[in-house]
Amino acid sequence: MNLQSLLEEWRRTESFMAHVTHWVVEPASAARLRSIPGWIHPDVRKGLHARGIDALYQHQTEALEYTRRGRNVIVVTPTASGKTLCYNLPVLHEICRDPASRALYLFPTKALGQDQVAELALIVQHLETTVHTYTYDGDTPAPMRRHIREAGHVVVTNPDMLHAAILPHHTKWLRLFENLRYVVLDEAHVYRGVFGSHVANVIRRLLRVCRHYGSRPQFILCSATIANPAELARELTGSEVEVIDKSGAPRGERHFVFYNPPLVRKDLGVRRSALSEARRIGGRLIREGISTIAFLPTRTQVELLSAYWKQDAPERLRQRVAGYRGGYLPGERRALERGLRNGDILAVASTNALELGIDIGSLEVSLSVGYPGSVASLRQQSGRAGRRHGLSAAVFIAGPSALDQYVVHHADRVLATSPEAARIYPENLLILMDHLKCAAYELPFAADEQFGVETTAELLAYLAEQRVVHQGHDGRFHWMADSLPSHGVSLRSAARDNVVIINVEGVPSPARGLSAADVLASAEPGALDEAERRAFFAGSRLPRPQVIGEMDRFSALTMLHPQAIYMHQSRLYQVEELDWENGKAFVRPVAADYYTDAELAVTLRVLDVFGERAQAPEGPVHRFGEVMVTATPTVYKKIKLDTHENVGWGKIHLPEMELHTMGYWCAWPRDALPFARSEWESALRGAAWALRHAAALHCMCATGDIQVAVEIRDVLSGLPTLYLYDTYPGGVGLADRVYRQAEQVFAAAVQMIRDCGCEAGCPACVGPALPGAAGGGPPLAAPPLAEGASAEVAAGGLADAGRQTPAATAKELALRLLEARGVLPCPVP
Amino acid sequence: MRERIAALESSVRQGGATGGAVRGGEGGFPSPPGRLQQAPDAQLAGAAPAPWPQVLAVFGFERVDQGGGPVWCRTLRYDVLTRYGRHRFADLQRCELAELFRAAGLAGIRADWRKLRFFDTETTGLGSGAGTFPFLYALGQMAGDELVIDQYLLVDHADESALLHTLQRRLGGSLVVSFNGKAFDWPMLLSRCAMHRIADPPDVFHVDLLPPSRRLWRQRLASVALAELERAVLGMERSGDLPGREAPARYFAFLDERNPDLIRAVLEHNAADVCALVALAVRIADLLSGRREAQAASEHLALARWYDEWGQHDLAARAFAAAAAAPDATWSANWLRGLHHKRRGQWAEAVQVWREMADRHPWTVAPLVELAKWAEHHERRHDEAEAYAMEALRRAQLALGRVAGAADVVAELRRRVERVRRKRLRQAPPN
Repeated sequence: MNLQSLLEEWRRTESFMAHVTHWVVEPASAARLRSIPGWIHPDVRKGLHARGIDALYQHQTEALEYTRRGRNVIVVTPTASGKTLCYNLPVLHEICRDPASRALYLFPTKALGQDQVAELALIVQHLETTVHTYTYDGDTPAPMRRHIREAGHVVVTNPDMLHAAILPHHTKWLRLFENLRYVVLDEAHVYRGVFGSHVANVIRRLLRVCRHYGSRPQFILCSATIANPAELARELTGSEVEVIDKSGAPRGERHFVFYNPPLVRKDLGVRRSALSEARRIGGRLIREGISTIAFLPTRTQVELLSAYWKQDAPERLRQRVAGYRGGYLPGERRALERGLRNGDILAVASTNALELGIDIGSLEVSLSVGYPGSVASLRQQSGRAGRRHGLSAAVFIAGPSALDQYVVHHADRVLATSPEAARIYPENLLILMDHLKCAAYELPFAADEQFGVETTAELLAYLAEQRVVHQGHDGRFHWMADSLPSHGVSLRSAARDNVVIINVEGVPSPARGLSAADVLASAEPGALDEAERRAFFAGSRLPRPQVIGEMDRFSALTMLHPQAIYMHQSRLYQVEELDWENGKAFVRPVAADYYTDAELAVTLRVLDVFGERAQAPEGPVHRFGEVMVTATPTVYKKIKLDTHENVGWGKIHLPEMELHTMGYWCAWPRDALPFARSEWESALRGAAWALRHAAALHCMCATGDIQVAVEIRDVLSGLPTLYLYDTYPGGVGLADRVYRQAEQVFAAAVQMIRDCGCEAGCPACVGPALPGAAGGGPPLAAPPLAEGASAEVAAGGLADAGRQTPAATAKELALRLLEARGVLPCPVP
Repeated sequence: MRERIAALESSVRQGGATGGAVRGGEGGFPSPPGRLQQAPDAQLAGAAPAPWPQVLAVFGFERVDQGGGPVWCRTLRYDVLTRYGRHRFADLQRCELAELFRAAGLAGIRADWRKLRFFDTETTGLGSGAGTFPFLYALGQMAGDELVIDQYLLVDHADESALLHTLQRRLGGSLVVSFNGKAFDWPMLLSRCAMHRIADPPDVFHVDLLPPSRRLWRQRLASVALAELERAVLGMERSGDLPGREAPARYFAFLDERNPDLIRAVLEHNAADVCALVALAVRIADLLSGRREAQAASEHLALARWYDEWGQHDLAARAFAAAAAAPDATWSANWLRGLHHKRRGQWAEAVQVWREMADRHPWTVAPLVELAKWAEHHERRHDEAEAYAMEALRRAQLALGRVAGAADVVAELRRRVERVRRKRLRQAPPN
């Protein structure tokens, strides 16, 4: 059965269609071709002819014309629309014209870079001009490096190498920096958030070094569809960039199917897992011989799904099913990619590693299992099943989270309206300072030189005080320390690292005298020899601890404290040990009928208010500014799954965390709503939960990048207040953005709660129920008062504990708060 | 703004690594996280630092312009008759520099001692990136009856360009002698020149004493660092020498405080290194030219290998013999000596070496194999060849299970024994 017939069959099957929230068909479109411009170097033209290319798509010629006029461009066209020619042609033309010219290609991952070298080589082999193209990354052998520095026309690398290996040693790259004509940034949409903010600063450093050697490169960027390509490109490169977003490539008919797994427990909002639905749907596709790629959020799930598929597939097809993820050896990955291109592999389960432009040809169907975190990513994934000719389908299978549920219910919006904007915030003080140090190491700073911000001189003066730079007689600031600053700066990880969650299922428990950490150490190869390990595990098959997830440290305080119940893929785990110092939480599956909810005593101190506005005189006030967050987990409660009864509690002993960051907060006048104290609490908590997810959706960031806190009686104003702040120290512009577009974020939050299938509010839409507060169950065993003066939340819950709670549900309360007068609806001034 | 950065940075440092492992259950309180103490500001408020000319005059530094712009320079002069360990600087003027140059891969260069520039730097770090730079350069040369060392000190970056121009002029056309300079000091100088867009010093030949030193003394010494060579080879003990890795911190502090005591040891260390370079160059040249007899077997062996490479076979033979005769002669000294004779077709000598080895080392196999080959192919005495091969096989079997690869050797020897036995039977007159 081909894809066409299968889609028709699905359409006819009621049990399938019952869970399909949207089915959109994009009709095929024809190619818009242009002839190859006459001014292109004859050598390049010949190379194109040799590859069978006699005409270009419209966007390719546009890129050529813009770059010829000295402009920077960003090309935003769908996957498989021939984006690479948009930069390869101008670069090759330039090198043929002047063989001294150099180009630098930056790809977010190593594999992508290697792929592009292979593609470029296909054209280059037909040229008469010799064009040396090399990847320069961690795998490049030392003897090659010298040659690449001298002779590489096109140097392909990644931002991390540029940051740590190339820029600090720029004197060895004289030829490159003296003759750099083009800098190519492919997959530019990946450079967002903290990573993007770092990359923007690396580009600043790159341009500084180029200026020193007298070159002024042009930029060519490529990106998946985002709302603000011009803005992102400008912020990344520091200059104006032309946008090319009309694809001239042809496209076959495409179906978008949004599938929401059925609810199995309505009260908890628990649905059948997306993974098992992917197993079923993918299994069918495989049996029909339809080429399929599935995207999963974690490596473990990739392994699981590929194993399921193999197990379910008929014998003859088993060898044609594979998994693909980071952690496989490069050779193995190349073989898989080849297999996908030539059709030997029929179905692959992958992490987002294959989402980016690695050439795997085009497949017929893509399955996105769970929301990948951004609409751009979702589009990118669905683009993997998209052909220039013929039919393709993209199926989104929603997970249980609020974000997933929002997406599956608003497919029209996801597809029709503009995707999210990719935001960066290169002015984050910490990031900026890190790169200012690196830049000072690379070249001295003139006294009046600016590095991104006007306050550069002030920052340099600070570094001089710290004895990191030294101001010379000529007023210039010189690096003056026995260290390489780029070593201490990773572009990818936040300053606060994560806690990894390790499943020690089957590994002897700490009760037998060994801690989970000891066991983990022993299970790492080399720690014990095999014989000892076998003796240790008494001949049974050797279970190995497995990383099943990760969590930001702030959330870990309340969700991964010892004894916490951690829910993962609809399984319950208990935390046995939290190694705070090394960022490891050891968990073990348990059969419990309760979950835990920890109290975090959060003190938010407002340090400075940068902005303030209100929609109506008696409505809530929105503010934005600098905050200091101090969080101490105090107690946790055990809450029964069905009844939400409080069945016990325990103390948490974890260190206090301090975070100096940017925050947005909204304070309601106490009489804005006729709420009792416990109602305020429930409303604030529910609204905060939904707002956090809405803000993540709006700002195109992970939910871990934003945190929320509520105060029924704020220390400062005495008013019910909801805080939302960046979890990255110094802030990366998220709170700022929420402040400016609060109305849209509130509207999205309202929509998320309304769309939820639950009746009274569930963990997906308004967060875990709060026992003792309105909308939750009555507390059986009252938790003790949390220590510390800031236990306003806990105290608030207790004060009303004995009182008859009103009938309003958590869902209603949160909605009433979010829709209170003065918040919605109102246009942004 | 500054308070903001400071607060931010301290909050980041504090975050994360506080507290240890936290076990489940009650009890086991982690100690409360301590706030990082802000380092007290070391700079004394108000005290204006002394002007540079005054500070640097303590060491005799003067502001000079040698054609590249004004730089801080001081000149140290040593009489050529000054002893440095077992050598005098004057020895440089009469030693066979050509031999040293040949050992450095510069055969055919006219090795004029007047053109030698002994070159050493002190840098702000061990990295090779653009932010690490030499703050002290030393250039030593023979002038008349003196060894003259010029030290150039950078106390203001604004001077670096002038300093590099000066060095470019002074080093151009010279024969640079360094210790590990090819990998470190010289690329560093070129990197600084590249950064200042100054051309590399032209027509320079570079003799790095580290590779020949390694060849001569690696087997004997724990390390071939310059200080160790000075002690063990040159017979010179430095007192109160500053470890090189402390130099950057001293320099940074000196820039801040301008206290001459901070930099004194760095300047002395640097000058001493240049003196050691001169003596080391003499020592290596003397060993190569035979003016000084090598002491250890490993030294003889190193010399023998050089002579062998250069086709000076008689010298090589003598050095191999000396290596084998030295009290600390090792198996490999004899082995290499045997191979040398074999290559040269001096069978009688080679056979003697192998027989001695086979007698002296009851476990050794390889000389017996060589003897078997010699008897089989050269002498065509198959009975003798069989006897050597049998003995080799017996010894190899003893190593089975104890030495990796012994099985292969045993298998190979079995084949050899078979072959010579067949040959012997074919050749032997029928009884």
